[in-house]
Amino acid sequence: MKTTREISVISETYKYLPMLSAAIFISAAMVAPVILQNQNHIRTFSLIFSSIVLEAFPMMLLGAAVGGIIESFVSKEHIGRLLPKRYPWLSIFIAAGMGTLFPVCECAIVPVVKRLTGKGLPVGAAVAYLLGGPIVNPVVAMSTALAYRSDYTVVALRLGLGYLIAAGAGLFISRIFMNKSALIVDAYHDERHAGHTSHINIQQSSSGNSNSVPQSIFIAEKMPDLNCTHAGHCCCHDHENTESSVIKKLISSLSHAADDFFSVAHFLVIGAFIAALAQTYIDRKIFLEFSSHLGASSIMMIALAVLLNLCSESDAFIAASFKGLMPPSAQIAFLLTGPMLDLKLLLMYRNLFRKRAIIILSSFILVIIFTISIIIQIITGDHLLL
Amino acid sequence: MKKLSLPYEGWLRTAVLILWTIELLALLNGDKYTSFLRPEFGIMLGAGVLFLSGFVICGFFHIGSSRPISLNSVIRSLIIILPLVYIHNTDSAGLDRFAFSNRSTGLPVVSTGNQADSPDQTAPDPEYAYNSNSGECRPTEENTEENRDKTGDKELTIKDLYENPDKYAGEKVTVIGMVASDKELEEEFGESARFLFRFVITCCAADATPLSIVMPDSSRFKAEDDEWVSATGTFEIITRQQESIPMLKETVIKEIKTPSSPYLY
Repeated sequence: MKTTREISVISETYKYLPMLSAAIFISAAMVAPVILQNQNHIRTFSLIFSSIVLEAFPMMLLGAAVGGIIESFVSKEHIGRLLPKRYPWLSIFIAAGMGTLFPVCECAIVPVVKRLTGKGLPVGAAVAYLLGGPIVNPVVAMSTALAYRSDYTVVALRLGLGYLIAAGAGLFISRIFMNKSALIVDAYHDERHAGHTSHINIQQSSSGNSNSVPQSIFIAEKMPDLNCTHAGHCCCHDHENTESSVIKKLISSLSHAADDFFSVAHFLVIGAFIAALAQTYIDRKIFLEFSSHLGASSIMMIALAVLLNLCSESDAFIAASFKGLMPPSAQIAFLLTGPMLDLKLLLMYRNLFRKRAIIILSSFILVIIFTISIIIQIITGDHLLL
Repeated sequence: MKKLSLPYEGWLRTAVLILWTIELLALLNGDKYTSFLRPEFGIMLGAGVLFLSGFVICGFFHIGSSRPISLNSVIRSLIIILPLVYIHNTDSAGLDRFAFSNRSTGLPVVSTGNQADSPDQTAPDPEYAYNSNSGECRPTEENTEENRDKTGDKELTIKDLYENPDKYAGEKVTVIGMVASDKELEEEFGESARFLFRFVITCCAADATPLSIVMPDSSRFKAEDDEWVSATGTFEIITRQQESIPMLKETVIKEIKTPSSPYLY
């Protein structure tokens, strides 16, 4: 039987295990391309990994910049005025189609949605825009039409079904998380407000009132221990109320944008790394082995979409390359899955949603897409219009 | 006892941003980024440089107000700069046979019949890709100075053959690509059969799709896998199991340097 001391040693070891694993992984990942640079597969992996990151980075920077602008220039009242009050569920259906006006790729959308939820956008509408924005937009419509040689049935199916899935997911999540929060942003804001309260308590304590917060945690000149880098003041309230200068707001938005970048960038890199491994080492012919089985082809194409981490503007060409090899229902499943759920998105969602919400949302998306593709395959067989 | 003061996390973050800014600038210099991305993405990388510069400047002003450095922030920063190691490790040759064999889904297939009614008028004429009299690649009378694009002579590519197979069927053409051997190909067409392939990308190398033509008789030339060659031969389309397979017959091969842009777009 372990003693208390042994138990505490073991628990301390487990506490540092993730960091130790991360350190070992990073060291190996940095050394491998230098030592093994003559190997074909390492060269291919390097190229694909670098490509995914280089394509996504500017988009993510753009998303972070937009998120920073939202944080500094858009108030909760602004968002509140835009949302329909009589039928709150209508905001979900509007948000799912907002990509037509504000097209954005999946790399950029996470920091934007994070800031919007901080400004009071309901979680259902946030989910709807998160899923619908990268797929229901004119750029994706054009690239899909081009890939499928102006076969507008595919375009209509992709955009229409994408819209319905996004709206459905928004309704589902808002229903499931009616009393509890799906977002980690709320926890983030709770900590900020706790910090703000503590500031007040410290001020009160200096005048002789009691407070329960140790003074060492908060120093008037420094920030609370959160992702906040503004000098000299707490950042838990809307900036537009305290900073009237446009220049100051712009500087503030840049600072917020940098925070968002650093909170999301490492997830992108990890997701791109895993995707590059899948792209390098998985032979796509394997996916063809199951093309004749009902449902198996859809599962294979959904898995491929999750693993490949392609942007929604280019994945239509990959799907089209499977014409004649995979049934059309499986191609539709691929076209729907990628923009909503791939490896890097799954990791980036960790910056926005609680773990339970990510699991529920991912399961919902996968089950719905699989069901839709089975229905399409049953209704039309393999002889679809594609 | 005075607590050890750790450096601010702001220094680490600013260093990471500076490294990435320098890297993007280096990639934009001389269009090195085209090894990874489509040329048009240079604009996005330029915008990325602007954003990063703004973050760096803003970061300098806020370094003193950031929290002390932590192991978590160090690990996170190392992960963010990890791609820089791989970008430097990559040469400009592009994807090779290894990627080709993983991404190809069997024998190449072209769509025929559709192009007969509406041939692509902008596709290069076969005559000015290859001159059968002189045996050289020379422009025809139509390909005057006014008709040439900014990069010089128009080049017939594997993509043109895929998009307009009926136009080039039966013609002598010259295209460039890489050579690849394949067991399935050898079983179908004989031991000396080889692929001539090139990758088409939409956005980046991650979505690269291989386009290939079968060269059924490589015994007439010596070419190793992954070699860049200029292949001249008669373009034909044969039917196997109700599919149209593009082929280059009586091929003459000439080894060439890796082109400045290994991909087609």
